[in-house]
Amino acid sequence: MVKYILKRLLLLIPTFFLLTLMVYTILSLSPANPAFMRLGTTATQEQIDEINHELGLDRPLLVRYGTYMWNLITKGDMGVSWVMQTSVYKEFMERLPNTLLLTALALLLTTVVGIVAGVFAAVNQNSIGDRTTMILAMLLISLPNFFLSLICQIVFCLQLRWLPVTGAGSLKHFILPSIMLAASRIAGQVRLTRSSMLDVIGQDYVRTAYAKGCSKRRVVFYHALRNGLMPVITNIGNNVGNIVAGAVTVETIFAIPGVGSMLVNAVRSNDIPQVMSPIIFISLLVCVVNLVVDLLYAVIDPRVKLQYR
Amino acid sequence: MKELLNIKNLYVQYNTDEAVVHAVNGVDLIVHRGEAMGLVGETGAGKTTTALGILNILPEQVGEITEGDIVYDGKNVLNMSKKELQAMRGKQVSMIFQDPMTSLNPIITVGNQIDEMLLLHFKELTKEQRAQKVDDILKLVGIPAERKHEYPFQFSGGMKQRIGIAIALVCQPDLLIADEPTTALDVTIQAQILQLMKQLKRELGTALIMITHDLGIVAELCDNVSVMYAGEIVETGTVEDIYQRIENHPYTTGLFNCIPKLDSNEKRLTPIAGYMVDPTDLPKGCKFHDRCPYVTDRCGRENPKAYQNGTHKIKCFRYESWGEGDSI
Ligand SMILES: Nc1ncnc2c1ncn2[C@@H]1O[C@H](COP(=O)(O)OP(=O)(O)O)[C@@H](O)[C@H]1O
Ligand SMILES: [Mg+2]
Repeated sequence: MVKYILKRLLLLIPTFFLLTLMVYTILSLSPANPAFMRLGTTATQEQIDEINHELGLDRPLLVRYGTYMWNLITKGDMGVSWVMQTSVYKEFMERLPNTLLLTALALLLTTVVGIVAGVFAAVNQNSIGDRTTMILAMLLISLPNFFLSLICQIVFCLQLRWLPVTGAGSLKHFILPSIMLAASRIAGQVRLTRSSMLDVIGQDYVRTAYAKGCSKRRVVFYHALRNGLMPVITNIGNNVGNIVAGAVTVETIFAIPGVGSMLVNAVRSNDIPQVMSPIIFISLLVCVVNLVVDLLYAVIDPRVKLQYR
Repeated sequence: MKELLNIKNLYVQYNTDEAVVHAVNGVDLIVHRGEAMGLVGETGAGKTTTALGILNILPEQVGEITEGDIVYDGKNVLNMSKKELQAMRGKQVSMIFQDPMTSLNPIITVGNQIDEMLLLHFKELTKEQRAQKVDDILKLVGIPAERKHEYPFQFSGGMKQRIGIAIALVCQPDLLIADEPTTALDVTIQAQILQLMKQLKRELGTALIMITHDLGIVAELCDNVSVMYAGEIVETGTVEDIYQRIENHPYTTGLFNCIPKLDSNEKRLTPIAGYMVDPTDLPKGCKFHDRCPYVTDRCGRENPKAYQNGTHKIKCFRYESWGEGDSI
């Protein structure tokens, strides 16, 4: 098992480099030019060349990529913003805690609420509780996130004044944004958990458990749950990617200074060094989470565990 | 012998989205303590459904008992409380399931799956005592006790079936329902399993309902036989009554004709003509009439009663002269 974990960690390295190289290449294809940004459209060719040389943009792509990665890994240096000419790393680190808190809360909500409601619905299949849960899930999936967020802002923040509308000053600021970020993913998680549990509940070994004299509770929690959660865990991995991507919108709507809104601003102003760092963060996070999910799988499923002994 | 199980006029249907499947249509079945009853019939005859009814574990919301009673040891299973049912299942009546590949939980060690029976029904035992019992029962079914820490996927089909048998036997039930315990196995393992069941019956005095479509197995193991067709028992009697092959229900005769015989000169087997009736659309009269070589007009209009001659009962007008007996 330790060998397997090490192998997976090692595999992460080439994945990371390939990913960043792809992102770097695609971004360098963008027509954005820092010289124009600084000097305006009236700049002469000499001035442009000078700035390009200063920023190292006249060197070949692979050299530029290599330098970038070297600086990132050895010095934590992510370059300088083209627009503000400030350190990208400094801004990134200032914003990171907000994004981590927001996504962690949303992931926790998605996982806990999704699994609890999904198991409840499956165990009480076709009951009123099940039907209500499913209708709610359907509603959450079909309502666009930004729309729901705006409605909730109006109701809970402006009308009832329970929560602050925007910003990131306290934990209170994160309540509504994380719920909004989790909303549509909860719905997906509930539906998946329910169908996976229903599938397991119909299996022969569940009937065997009843035939042994198990109570319904024991059947659900001891025999069915771990089997039913396997596809659900895979989905948690997908959810992380989704939630981080969703954070981009939610941070913008709620004016939270996070990595997501940094990405949006940077894309809007063609500030390539500023775009690079959030993307690297998001992709690395997704890689790591998927590794964790695979390991979790091995913990739950002996068939997987023994395969990697 | 004392009566252990008495099924009276049992009707079971499956309410599916497409249709209502009439799986069991008026079954009467009595099993005494220590008796081995063979339940024989083609696939789809309703054997498994009857067995699931005895334990009251028909699929929720789909399987429905519409009529009848199942009395176990003087108590009606259909009126038992949850607690009573849980105490009966596994401890008094246990079941070996038809498909060993899917009947064991894939992520629980086989040792723990056997141990669970003791945990549920012998709460007074210590952990060590339970472990000892698990080892003993594994040895009895021919699996090394060290392997109890392994998972079902690490065993072959035959071994899984033996684990299923170990689970069913570890609490020493009064009634064991074995649902085609050897169908999924190859012949050598089949013989070993039958040997094992014989031994259990002899040594522990366990009553047995042996569900199979193999008349050979029944002859070897059982005292009495019931033949099932389209959810009805069409013939019942002692093994001698039925295996003499002098007086049989035409369906039973058909089943016998499907067994290959090495000592006969007949080159070809004679399968029963036609197909099993559709349980969503049962015919009027005798369910077997459109496959029966002795069919008369009356067979299509009227379902025959059970006619009785001593221990032998047959649901066919050809034996009307025996006189009406108790229903089967
Ligand atoms: N869960 C179910 N839902 C719908 N129909 C079923 C179900 N289980 C069994 N049946 C149907 O009920 C009939 C009897 O099945 P079964 O009791 O399994 O027969 P046997 O064990 O004799 O082969 C068959 O027609 C079968 O298709
Ligand atoms: Mg069956």
